[in-house]
Amino acid sequence: VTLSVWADTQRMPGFQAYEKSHSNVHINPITVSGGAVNGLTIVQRVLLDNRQNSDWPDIAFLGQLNDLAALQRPNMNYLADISNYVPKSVVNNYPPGVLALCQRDGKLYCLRNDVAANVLWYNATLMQQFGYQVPSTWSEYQQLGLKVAKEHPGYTIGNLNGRYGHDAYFWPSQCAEGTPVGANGIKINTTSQNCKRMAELLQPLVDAKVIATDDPWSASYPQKVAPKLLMMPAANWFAAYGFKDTYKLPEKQWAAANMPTWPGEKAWTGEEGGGVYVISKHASSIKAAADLITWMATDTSPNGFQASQPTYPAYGPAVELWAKNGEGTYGSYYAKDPADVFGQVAKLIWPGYSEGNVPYDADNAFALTMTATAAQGGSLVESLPKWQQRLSDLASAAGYQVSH
Amino acid sequence: VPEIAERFGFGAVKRTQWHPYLFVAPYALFAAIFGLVPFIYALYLSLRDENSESYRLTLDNFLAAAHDFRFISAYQNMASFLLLWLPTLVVVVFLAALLLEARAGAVTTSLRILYYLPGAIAGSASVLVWLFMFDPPVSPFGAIWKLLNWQDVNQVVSGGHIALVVTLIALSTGAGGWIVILFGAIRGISQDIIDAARIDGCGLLRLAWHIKLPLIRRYAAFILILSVASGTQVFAEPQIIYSTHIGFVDPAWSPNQLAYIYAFSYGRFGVSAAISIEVLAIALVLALILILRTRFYSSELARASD
Repeated sequence: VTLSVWADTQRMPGFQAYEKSHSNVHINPITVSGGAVNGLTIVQRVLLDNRQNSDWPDIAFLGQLNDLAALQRPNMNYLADISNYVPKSVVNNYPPGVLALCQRDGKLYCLRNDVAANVLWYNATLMQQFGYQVPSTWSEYQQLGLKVAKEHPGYTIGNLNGRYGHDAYFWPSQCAEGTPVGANGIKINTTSQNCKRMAELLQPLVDAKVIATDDPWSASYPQKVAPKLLMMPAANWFAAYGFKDTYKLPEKQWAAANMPTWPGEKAWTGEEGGGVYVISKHASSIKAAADLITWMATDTSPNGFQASQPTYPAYGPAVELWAKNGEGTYGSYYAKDPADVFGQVAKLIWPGYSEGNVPYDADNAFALTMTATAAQGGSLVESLPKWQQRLSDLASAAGYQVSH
Repeated sequence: VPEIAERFGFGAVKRTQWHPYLFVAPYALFAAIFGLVPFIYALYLSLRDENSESYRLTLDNFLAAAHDFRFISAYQNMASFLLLWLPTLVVVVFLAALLLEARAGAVTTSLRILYYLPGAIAGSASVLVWLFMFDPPVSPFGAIWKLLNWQDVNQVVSGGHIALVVTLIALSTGAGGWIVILFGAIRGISQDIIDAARIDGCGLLRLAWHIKLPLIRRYAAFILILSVASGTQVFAEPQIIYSTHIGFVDPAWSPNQLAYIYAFSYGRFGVSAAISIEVLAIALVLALILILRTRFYSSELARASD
């Protein structure tokens, strides 16, 4: 069987390793760089393939979950239901909720490679030096922030940019910014109490400038904001790629904690990425393709694919091996082994929202409304309706039935 | 003799008839493949009913585009960009070319290259360079941004500023080429005219204003016509600013970006084609107005007889 595989350079060696050990499968690699091949993203490629009615990639790794939502749109006619090809035991071994975005109407459309749940990153060295406790509730988080503003001005405890603003604050607050309803409906209600409480909590912190509005990947961030980071709710991979690789912050200082909680509620969190494997319904052998992506996502042999990945494995049984292998070689960077916290937050992703629910750029919608307001010193609560309007407009333009 | 002359003349015309076609042929071929055929296909797509298998013609795609919530803002953005960019471009290009030519020498040659250099960088790369310029802490113009009390890139690249930001980028990449061309045009003015004006007592300023400018004025129309065509298609600059997640830029900032979203996010190629046709129509109308107002194609004789 020959299978064309659309994947980035991080994932492609895994596919090729499978090809080596399985003589019946031949891989035709389509290597993605910068999210595209010949200037086309996976969604664009499928749209064009649909027009010529041939040439679809048989297997695709999606690093952007928005693409999953886009490929699930009815007019795409691309994703294969793989529920009959993936063993039930494999599905059940995923932590609860992690596969939710792959499952619709009792069908299975993808397997997850990694989980990128948000944790509360904190600089353990500085926290000790300043004499602060890691906040376990949102109100403690707010009080600590106001204290930081007074005692150590210039330090920040989080970021309200387009990416983390909604994924690290409003999503964990169970704010309904895009909940699927049936096959083609979506519920968007960002003026609800769950959203309002977070906007009110953040307002004084933004006003006191302990929460920044800059983009963490902007040119000036490493010298402007990063040297004075005290805490940051961000993805489980953020210490490795942000603090260490991009900002070059010193070793043995950063540790992870669960997200703060609201009274009487679980420590819900959100997510920032986390890739999935999908299969084309036009593939010559969906069975062979399903076997391949199952191996990629869930193989737990010591030299298997998941054991050597920098990302946190979505598949439960692969986690232990991953941690033993040095947590994707970043293990020595942390002040405290974050594996336990990573494991807990992976089960605490609030299921009412996911980047995989919406095909449009929700980060940009948040930035244009909420972050812009925060950057200009405006009222967050008052711009919640603007955010809702923007999301609703985007959803209806993409063909969804919007309810509030 | 008249017979011979007629025959000779007739023969000459017939012989030269082929040469112009030969010269134009490569252009005509590529214009047809990359201009005319895509246009016809876009027109066909825009008028076809997407939802039916039949070939019913409809205006649904144009209506769907017009009902998009970003439709008006996209055209407003395009208009404000054109209003900022076109006059600035013409003024900057003419001023720089006249200044360069007024005291031609060794410095001029290096300045000419200097003006041209930014244009030699690929458009998208120069946008990335500019993004550093707009980020106050790392910008070489940081002092200016601080003077305006703009602390971070989000304040520089947001809302109404974006048209200005795109204008600056487009000017830096596009003006240099025109300056060099216009410089050549001024050099092409007959030295007799310049000398005559000098003898009559023209200084540098009067020479530029009363002699050179009127003689190269038609180039303004030429620059405007070509720039209207590229300006209405504004895409790369706002798209790259958007995709770098810097500042607050709508992914459908310009009509071309909206068309891109319809084709490559929604898979609605008909609506996308409809927007493209609209943009083309606007560019054509603007170009026609410019041509008619400046009598761009009328010959010197026709002008003299007016």
